[in-house]
Amino acid sequence: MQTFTVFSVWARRSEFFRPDDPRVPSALREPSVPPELSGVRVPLPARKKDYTCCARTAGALWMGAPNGLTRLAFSPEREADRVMYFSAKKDLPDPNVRAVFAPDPDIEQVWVLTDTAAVLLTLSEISAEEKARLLAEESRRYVDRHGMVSQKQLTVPWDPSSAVSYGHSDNSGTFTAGFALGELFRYAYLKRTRGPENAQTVSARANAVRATEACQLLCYIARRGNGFVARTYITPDEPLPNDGFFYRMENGRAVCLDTGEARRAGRVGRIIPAAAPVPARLCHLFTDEGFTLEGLRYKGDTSSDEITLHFLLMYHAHTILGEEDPELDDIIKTSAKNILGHILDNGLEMVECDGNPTTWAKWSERYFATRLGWSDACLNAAELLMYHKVVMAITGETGRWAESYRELTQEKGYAQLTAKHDMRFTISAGLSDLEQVEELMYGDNMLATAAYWTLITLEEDEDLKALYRQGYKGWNGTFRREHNPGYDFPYMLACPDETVDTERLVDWFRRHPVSRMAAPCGVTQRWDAPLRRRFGGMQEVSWLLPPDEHPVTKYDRDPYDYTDSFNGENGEYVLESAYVYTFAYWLGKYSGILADEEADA
Amino acid sequence: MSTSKFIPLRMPRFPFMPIAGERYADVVSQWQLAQSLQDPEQPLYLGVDVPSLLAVEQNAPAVLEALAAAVQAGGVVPVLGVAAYPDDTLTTEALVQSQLFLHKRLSVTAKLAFLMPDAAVNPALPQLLRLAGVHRALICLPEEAASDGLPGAFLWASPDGSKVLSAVMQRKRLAFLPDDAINALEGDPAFYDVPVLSGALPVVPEDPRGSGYFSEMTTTASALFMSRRQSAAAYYLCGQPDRSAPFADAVRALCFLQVPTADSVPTDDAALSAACAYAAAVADRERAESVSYAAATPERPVFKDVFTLTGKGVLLKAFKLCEDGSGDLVLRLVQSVDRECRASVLFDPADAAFWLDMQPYEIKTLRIGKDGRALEVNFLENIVPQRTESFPE
Repeated sequence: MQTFTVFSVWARRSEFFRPDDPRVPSALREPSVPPELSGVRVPLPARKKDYTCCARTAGALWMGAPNGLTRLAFSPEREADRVMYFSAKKDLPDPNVRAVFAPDPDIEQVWVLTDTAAVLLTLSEISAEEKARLLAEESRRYVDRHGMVSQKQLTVPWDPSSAVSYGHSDNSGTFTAGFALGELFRYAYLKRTRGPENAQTVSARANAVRATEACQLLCYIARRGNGFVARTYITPDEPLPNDGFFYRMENGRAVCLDTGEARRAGRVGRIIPAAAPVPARLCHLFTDEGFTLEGLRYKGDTSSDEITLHFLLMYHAHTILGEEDPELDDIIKTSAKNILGHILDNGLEMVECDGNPTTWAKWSERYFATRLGWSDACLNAAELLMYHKVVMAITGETGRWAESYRELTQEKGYAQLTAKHDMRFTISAGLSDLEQVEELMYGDNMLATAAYWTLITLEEDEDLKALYRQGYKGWNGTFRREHNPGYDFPYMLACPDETVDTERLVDWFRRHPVSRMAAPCGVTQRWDAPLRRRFGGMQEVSWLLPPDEHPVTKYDRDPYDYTDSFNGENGEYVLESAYVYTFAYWLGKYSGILADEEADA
Repeated sequence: MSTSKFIPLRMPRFPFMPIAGERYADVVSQWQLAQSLQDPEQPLYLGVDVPSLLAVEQNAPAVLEALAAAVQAGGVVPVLGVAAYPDDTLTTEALVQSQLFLHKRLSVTAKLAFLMPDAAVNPALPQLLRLAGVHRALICLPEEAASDGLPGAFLWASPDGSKVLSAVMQRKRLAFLPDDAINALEGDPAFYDVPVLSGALPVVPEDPRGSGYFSEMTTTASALFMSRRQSAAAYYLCGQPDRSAPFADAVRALCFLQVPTADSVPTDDAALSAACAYAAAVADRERAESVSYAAATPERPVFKDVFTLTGKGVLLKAFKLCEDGSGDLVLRLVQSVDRECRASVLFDPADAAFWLDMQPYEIKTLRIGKDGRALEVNFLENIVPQRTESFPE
């Protein structure tokens, strides 16, 4: 298996000042000199004639243009760092750079004057672990909502401390599971290398347990007693979003609340039982904040996205925490059996209160026989088989689960389906005159990662394992071009004979932002990044921008998207979860793919 | 999860007869053509080549207008006939010219390609077809051709991973498209699992006319189309015409017009009328020697002082003016090795400088505006409007 080391990573930090702030050096207002670029033979984010000002540090030339700031390194350690772009609103408040001043040439730090502010921009090198720690801390302090970690809105731009207390996600379970997994791997690695009493180990464990509990609570909170999983829940003080199906719990029942979707489905006011017990261990997540089960509102119509990441988390939580936390382990085992039992009892579908399957949680042959389900069948088959393997692995039980697995793989062709994704997806996309990357729902990449990685890890039959590996490789057309360690590390673990470009992964860790603020970047303002318009109309950048020069988002977006922001004009009011970095980094350390940079402290 | 709107081909299920230009229409074919023309219930396929359509446009413009109207009415669906050559540049340019001609004159582009066996042996063809906007292909085997191991429907994959859904048919005097092939290409009534084949297909053409007509046409497509160039600055990087070949015509991109089932033909039989008028025009036309082309070697400018291309394995395959006459430049780059790389392009006269990621064997086409801004396009150079309903702007 390939291994590599990330010795240091970049951290960009911007501080904004009013232009007349006394801390702003007067040298910033002196006449500007444009840079001499006649000998430069690398593409730059602005045209050469657009640069109007510059400053030198020991390592680089910093140049200002109407579309932002460019740093051109003289002798970069890595070619990917030769040209860096700093844009609005991620690094600057507005894009028009009018002056640049370097106060100390030995420090990679510049003052930048724009139309509306003066900016002190610092570029420093830290360890990859320090970046992980900073990101996790930012999420724990500002993004955490009753233990769930997805994203938060801010009331003051660029200020994480202004995060509001509410803000659900349609996939709170998915994203919280991602954060929980990162902290689990962190805990396991630190316990092994620094001991269980180390402060960082203790912190990691606390984060991991809290996030795992939050995910487990979603597996019980609907209180239907039949294994139904909620997408998310909100407390009585949180505003009710007008999307999806929300159910408010009161007196042992739940009533479907008035939302647009509930009205269209004719479900408003519907009352269903909600009396099944919730493990007391999990209730502190809302009782600590003064709430009880009464009045909590959970969201239904749960999808396979949720279920798949729950099972991935349950497997690793059992493996890492199970022995030392038997209470949590029992909760996990019970919910795993409940969920899979629900699916098997309902024709391989997750059903809502009206007996109909939820929109996107169907693993049945009848769904696979539909136009939509025909291409979905391959991933969904892998997911369902993975659920079986996880239940059997964490409970030690066979019986019903083994018989169901046997029937699916040997009689119903589910194993063969897992290897057909590339073929079916190509046909499905082609018949719509689309390319695969246009047809893809990007969240599926993470589902495929979770399903195939776990299935291959747990399958003992070599023939089936080979079939699943073949299926996993069928996703390479959409996976590999992203050079994302969150996808590549599981792939390397599951298919150790495959080669991955680890240099691109080093660049990914080095250039991931040190904050998950989702402020817009000047992607569409660049002259060195052509717009690529695919046949179906999808717009992408012609090359994979470094993560600190592309808008921050979750795993469910295209990293090539030709967009300045995934949150409209006001991305600086959104703070995303750290899991995209922390899951990848700590999985790398836990599995040994990421070698240690130095002796542990 | 797939949520796209499926686009049907509306393929006919009746016998059809392809004719590839006047050279391919022997006596038997012409008799059958006449029979078909007399029977409005019998759908007709007509093979036309772009230069012939150009001649029709010049000599009988009403015919072309009638064809265009029939296409817009949905009575005629163009199918792109493809000939392929060892030099992919020629095949590429033939595809480009064909699709752009269809777009300009008939307001559509072909979504289905019609391949003769020689085309089927070019491993890069699926990639080229996809870049030209074609996602499905019919591979037509000559009567006596062997096709050991070639299934009725399959995904044909090129080295870069592009795939085209393909079906095989036997071209007899009266040829039938098998139901299962149509079903595979249409996805109706259900989608089909098909095998994936890559590389040169195991097709052995035995009909000398079927193989010779295309394989012996060795003159360059670019030479033909250069004869119509207005600007001296436009040129292709390509080879010389081979005047020693028996069929020393300029290479034509073949365009077959497909007439669907009777119930979809307009009541005024516009499509059939257009087809009949065209057939008459073809019969009257001069032989291929009347098509002229530029004979000189295209001059190559001195690049090195103003153009920089970096990227291991990346080659410049074409450098020309955009086909829409805007004056924009078009570059075509190909990654010639099985390795991904980051490439850069700098062209000083246009003040253009940009990066690109090249996947193994990928072909990229770049269109550079006068302001230096680069746009990555497909073979159709952003001339054909892109769909927006899938991805609203």
